[in-house]
Amino acid sequence: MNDETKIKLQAYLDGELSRRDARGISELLTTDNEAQSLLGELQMVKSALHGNELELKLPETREFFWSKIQREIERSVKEEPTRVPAFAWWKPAYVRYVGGMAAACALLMISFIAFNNEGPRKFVPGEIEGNGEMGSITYHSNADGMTVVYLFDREPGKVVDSEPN
Amino acid sequence: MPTKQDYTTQEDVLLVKSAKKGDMLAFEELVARHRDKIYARAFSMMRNEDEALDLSQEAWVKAWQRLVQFQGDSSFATWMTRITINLCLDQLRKNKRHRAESIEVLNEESGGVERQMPVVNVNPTEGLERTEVRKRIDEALGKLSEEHRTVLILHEFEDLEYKEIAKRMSCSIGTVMSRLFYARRKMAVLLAGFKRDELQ
Amino acid sequence: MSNSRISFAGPLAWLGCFLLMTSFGASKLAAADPRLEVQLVWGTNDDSSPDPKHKPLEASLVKKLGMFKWKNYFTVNRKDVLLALNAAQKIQLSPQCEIEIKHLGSQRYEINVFGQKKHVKKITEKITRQDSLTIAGDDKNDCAWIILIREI
Repeated sequence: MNDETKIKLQAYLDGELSRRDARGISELLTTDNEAQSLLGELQMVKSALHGNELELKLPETREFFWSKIQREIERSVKEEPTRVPAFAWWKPAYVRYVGGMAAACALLMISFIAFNNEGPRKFVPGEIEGNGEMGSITYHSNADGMTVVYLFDREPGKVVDSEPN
Repeated sequence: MPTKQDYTTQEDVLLVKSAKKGDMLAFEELVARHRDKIYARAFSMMRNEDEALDLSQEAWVKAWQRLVQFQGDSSFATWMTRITINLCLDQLRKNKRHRAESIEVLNEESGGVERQMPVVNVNPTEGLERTEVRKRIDEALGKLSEEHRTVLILHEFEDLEYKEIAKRMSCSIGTVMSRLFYARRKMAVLLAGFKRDELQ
Repeated sequence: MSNSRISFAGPLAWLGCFLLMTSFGASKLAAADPRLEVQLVWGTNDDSSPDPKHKPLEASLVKKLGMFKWKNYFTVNRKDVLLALNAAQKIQLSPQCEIEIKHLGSQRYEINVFGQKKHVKKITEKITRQDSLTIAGDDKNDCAWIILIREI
């Protein structure tokens, strides 16, 4: 039995073989003892592993583990860019002097944002709906300025979801 | 305002809905519910307690940040596990970059010694208590290379198809099939070895 | 002295602001219908496309597709569409692939994807000059079809 047949034997076991190839392997199994015992071994490992993953407990208390997560979430929120005053030379007198202009600039900015939808680039995920046979993975890259919706065939009942990378 | 007690009776779907609106207590309940499973997945892939802890914590922070992307097509637990797997795969890739490739790694796809191994024709887990089977499987997984272990976990525990595994591991379907084949063969030998030791 | 300067600068600033606001608003309200570029791209590990008419995808877009695993990308078809508000337009990109785009306003678009005349997905997404939309899926022989939509 060559390597290709061995791999096909495994794909046959996993139900990932085309109908034509599966027919070929079925025929081989009726006559080839080596193929039968190899399939038996692969089947044994598959069923031994099925549902037999070791159950582990996270070695930290609920409160302690959560406090770390919460701290990290809060830290990441704080890390979002904040505006730092660029001019350290300002004095109340200057404020009085440029007050009118500052207000005008602020209003100008507001009007620009209100009328210009290309303003702040905050990603708001869109909606995806339709054919249930097709699953989708959505990914947004701020760096590339791109939203990717990847569609794929989904077996009925198989659960797939969009997930971050 | 709901109390912590109220959350324990709520289903994941409702907790996710509240968390999406910024409710940290709801998210905390989700963490409490699924933290062991997430940690177990991270540990099974990394085989290191500290790394597993760090990665599961990172997975939860990432989940909070991207909760809005969760559309509910799968269960929350599945979505969370997928985030964890992606983080573990990234970490394994980073670790690998800092490590010289051994002969074992180079033999991953071609099978190495597994090519010469005779077929195991007895069930080495037969007659064992479930906890013992689980322990032995975990021990055997620990003896596999990272590539073999990962492909087995993704296929047998996460029920991912070859194509999906290939995407996640950034390799071809052929490589996945080959790795899975030799991983199973090695696993059979390791499990049979435990049985032999026990009989002796 | 300074008081008189402030009282003079204030109204001037307000007037300038008013003029700018109205000019911005007017220009935006009267803005032309958005023009979108739609491209059907084929992702493959082969060095060439089976159809010699397919041209390699422009480098800047290949760079954007860096997240995908394919080695080469070829443009199968490229179309520009002008979309009026609430108007839908069908775009045949290949004999198998067709999309319908509807402009919902505020740079949001509803895209219906059809494969072999069968409806596959409806995607509602914002498309701007900064944020493009890519819809992709697996094709035969480990290749992929990719639809790139961007505002031009």
